[in-house]
Amino acid sequence: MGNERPLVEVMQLKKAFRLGGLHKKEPILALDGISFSMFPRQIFGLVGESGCGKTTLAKTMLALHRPTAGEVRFEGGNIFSYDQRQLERFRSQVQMIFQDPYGSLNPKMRVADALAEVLLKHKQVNAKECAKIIFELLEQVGLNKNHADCYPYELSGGQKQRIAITRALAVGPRVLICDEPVSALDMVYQTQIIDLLEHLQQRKKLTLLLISHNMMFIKRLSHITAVMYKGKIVEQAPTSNLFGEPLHPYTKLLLASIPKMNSRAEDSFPPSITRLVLSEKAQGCRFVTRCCMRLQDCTGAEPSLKPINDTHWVACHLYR
Amino acid sequence: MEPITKTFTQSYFRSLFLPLPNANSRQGSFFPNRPAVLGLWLLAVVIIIVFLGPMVSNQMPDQVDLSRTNQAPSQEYWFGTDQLGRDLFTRVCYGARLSLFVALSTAVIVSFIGVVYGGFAGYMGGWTDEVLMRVLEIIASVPFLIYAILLMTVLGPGVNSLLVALAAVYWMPMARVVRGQFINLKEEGFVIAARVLGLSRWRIILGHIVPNALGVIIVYGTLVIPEAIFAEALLSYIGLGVSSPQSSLGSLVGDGLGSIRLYPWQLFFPALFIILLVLSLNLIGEGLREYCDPRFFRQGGNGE
Amino acid sequence: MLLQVRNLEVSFLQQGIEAPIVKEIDLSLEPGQTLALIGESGAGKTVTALAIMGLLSPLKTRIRGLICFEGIEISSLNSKDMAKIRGNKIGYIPQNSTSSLNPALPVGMQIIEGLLFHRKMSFAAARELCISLLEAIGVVRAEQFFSAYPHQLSGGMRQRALIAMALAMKPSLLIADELTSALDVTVQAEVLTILKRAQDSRELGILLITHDLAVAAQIAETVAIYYAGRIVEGGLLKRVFSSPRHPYTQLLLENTWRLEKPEAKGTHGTTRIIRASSPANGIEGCSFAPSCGLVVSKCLEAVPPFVPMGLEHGVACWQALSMKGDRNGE
Repeated sequence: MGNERPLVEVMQLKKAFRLGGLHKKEPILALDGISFSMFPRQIFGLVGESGCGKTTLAKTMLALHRPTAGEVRFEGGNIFSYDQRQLERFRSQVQMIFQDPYGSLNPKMRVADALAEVLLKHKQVNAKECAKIIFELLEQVGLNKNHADCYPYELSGGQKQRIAITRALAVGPRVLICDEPVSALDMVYQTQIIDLLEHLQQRKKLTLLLISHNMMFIKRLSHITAVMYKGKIVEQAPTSNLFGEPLHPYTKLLLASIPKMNSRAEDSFPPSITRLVLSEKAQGCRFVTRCCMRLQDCTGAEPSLKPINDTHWVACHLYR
Repeated sequence: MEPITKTFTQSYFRSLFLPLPNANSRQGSFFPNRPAVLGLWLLAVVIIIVFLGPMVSNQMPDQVDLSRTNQAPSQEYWFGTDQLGRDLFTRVCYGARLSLFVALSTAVIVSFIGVVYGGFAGYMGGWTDEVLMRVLEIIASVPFLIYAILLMTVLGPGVNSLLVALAAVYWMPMARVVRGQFINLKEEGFVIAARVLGLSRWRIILGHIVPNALGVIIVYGTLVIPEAIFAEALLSYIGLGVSSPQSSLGSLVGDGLGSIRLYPWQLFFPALFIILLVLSLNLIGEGLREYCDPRFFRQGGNGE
Repeated sequence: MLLQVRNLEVSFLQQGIEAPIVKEIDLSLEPGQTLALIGESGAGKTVTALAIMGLLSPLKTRIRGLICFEGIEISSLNSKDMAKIRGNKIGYIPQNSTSSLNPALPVGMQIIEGLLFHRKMSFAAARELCISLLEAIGVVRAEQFFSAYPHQLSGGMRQRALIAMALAMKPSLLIADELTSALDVTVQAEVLTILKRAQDSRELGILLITHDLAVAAQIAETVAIYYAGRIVEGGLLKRVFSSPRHPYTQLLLENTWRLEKPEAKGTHGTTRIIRASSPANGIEGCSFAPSCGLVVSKCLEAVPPFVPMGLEHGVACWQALSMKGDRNGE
């Protein structure tokens, strides 16, 4: 990546949700100080289990939520200080693909209309060119003219996700945020969508943020991988390093938990970890209740994300 | 190429009336719903009688003839006559027309107010929503009858004030329903996607939220009609609605009640028409509600 | 033989028309073994399980074929006798752990409900049994767990409660429907280990329904691959996974392996579109034919029969059959 400047920078992003009306509850920190940078044409992978704040991060990065603290910078400018016009320009540069292809398409709108709506908004095109562009876009994602006249319910899950991708690309973005783009799909379609994303990223020189709970999917595509646990990044490294020599106990646990085709449950999985039944407020490191390598310090101070070498960062008291 | 260029402009309007998402699945079809079909037939029969009947009976609704007062139903006067000798059948037909007109207009006005008020509250959310909903709750906490009677006494009797009074009452449940729909739809993936895609607020509301809320709006609009017929009858019955020489089903019932011992048909026939109208419209409304049930919506969504 | 299904056919009745959902299903399961039903959503796996448990409404479905459980033909039992078997002998872990628990009752009460009412156990005895069961499936502080309400538990813990509920009656067959699909990978690993241990300690037969081949590989001995309401390939897991014969199985395996080993990347932008698997009505021939790369004319004419391909391995594919024929001819 050399001396290139980062395209997107997330800086100390925090987002708290206040739940419950009458009885005052403590705000829930969905994001607790997230920082990372994405360079042009890079695929940045973000792994974490459900409820760790992945989707909140994606939505905040698109200015759909206002953060409690912190900044997201796009080409150096803080997106939360944008006015309406700058925000519109930002939307034409950064796009998103959603987890649920069933919900992300308007059930009452045909494919062609959904795409035309976007093209007419962002590109100066007339109706005739519009149709031509739509057919080209559909062909790029492996669909054809016939699909233009379909309503979403006439399409399969994989086809819907292709349409969602097409719609995001119709804007002509530089950054594409993919929130669990394959997890709602059957296995056979998953690999097809993965191939498609890889193909499009190379062809359109996109910068990709891939968010998933599926380690294999992240490993397959991303250049840099960050592991998120309860609203914080606990480890970040180039993908091969992270999968080759994981440092954080949580990353190790994640990797060991992946079911593999040539292993059996009794011999492959890590020994069951003692876990507290009811959630208790734990002090110190947020992983301490599940960690099998905990030290004395771990219940004291929260470890911060520190570099081990140039590219490998980890937040754990084991490495100092 | 043709279809797309043409359809883009047309399709928005078409999408409003749109094949409900499950149009191609056999479940949730409107027609196998027997009660609803019965309701449709019933309504059709009542409407035919009400609109074509007076031509056949060849009587005027307000033709007073003191030589034929309080006659029993006969070949000439099918439903008999009232104490002023007017043909009851013709009066019931005209009364039912008025009742239907009032009810339909109420449904349209109510849908409009409800969609604007509820939609605004639901889409804006936050403080706007809080304030608008509290205001609505305060108005809704006044008993309907007191509220309507108060309005009618201020505005004076007549069709116009009847419409105002009914609309003032029935817009509230509609606004609540629409607000709920808007709040749910606002969080739907495709609405968030539309925001990310940088579409304008109006485009999102008119193109993405309203078409998807329309099913529910139509259902509740339909269910307002029988309620409004009932309420109109009630108000006219206690003398606050339509006044003589105009007649509505309610005022006819009111007139008939006075002589129930001697001439029971004067009460029976208008009451029968109220029952038939309310019943058939309720059946149709329930059928529509079932047809638009969100469960079918979901099933349709997976059409693989 | 714990469970035997012969020529099962389930059709849904829609306005008097029978729409077949699954057809010609043959399964068998030995005690202490695990059989995995694999296939994409809508392929008929869950319907098969529901038919085995007799949970399909007779008003809306037609079930044909033979289902034998521990030597008794249960497909012809009346609903009362069936309910007895279902409660006592067959445990079921449903897909959704949130909606399958009553939010207003402590999970412990829900687990021992069957013991109290069917087995007429005393509360104290049932509670004790439940707590030892919970400890056996890796719940620490089982007493606290016993009196917790569902909303106080995490997804993994709720899943454990459902497992405990299914195991409490000491069933001999456990049906697990997409047991781990909604769980995080770390929790999935724990739950699979628990299931394996429970099986080993009590000779439990497990019918595992999943779409994930790797999950099946963890605990199953035999598999049945579903496509569009039929079993297209089945047999010993090791054989099926090491030498798949049906193009659909091959496709599934290829996809799974490619995720596991990124080095084995396929061609870029392969956008062959696989048609969704739904019970093909009115289409003659093999239902996979429209998506298959190896179609011969016979594939479009007749449905391939399920034919054994050597020991404990069978396939329903004309191509595979013709190849077998060639080999026999040599």
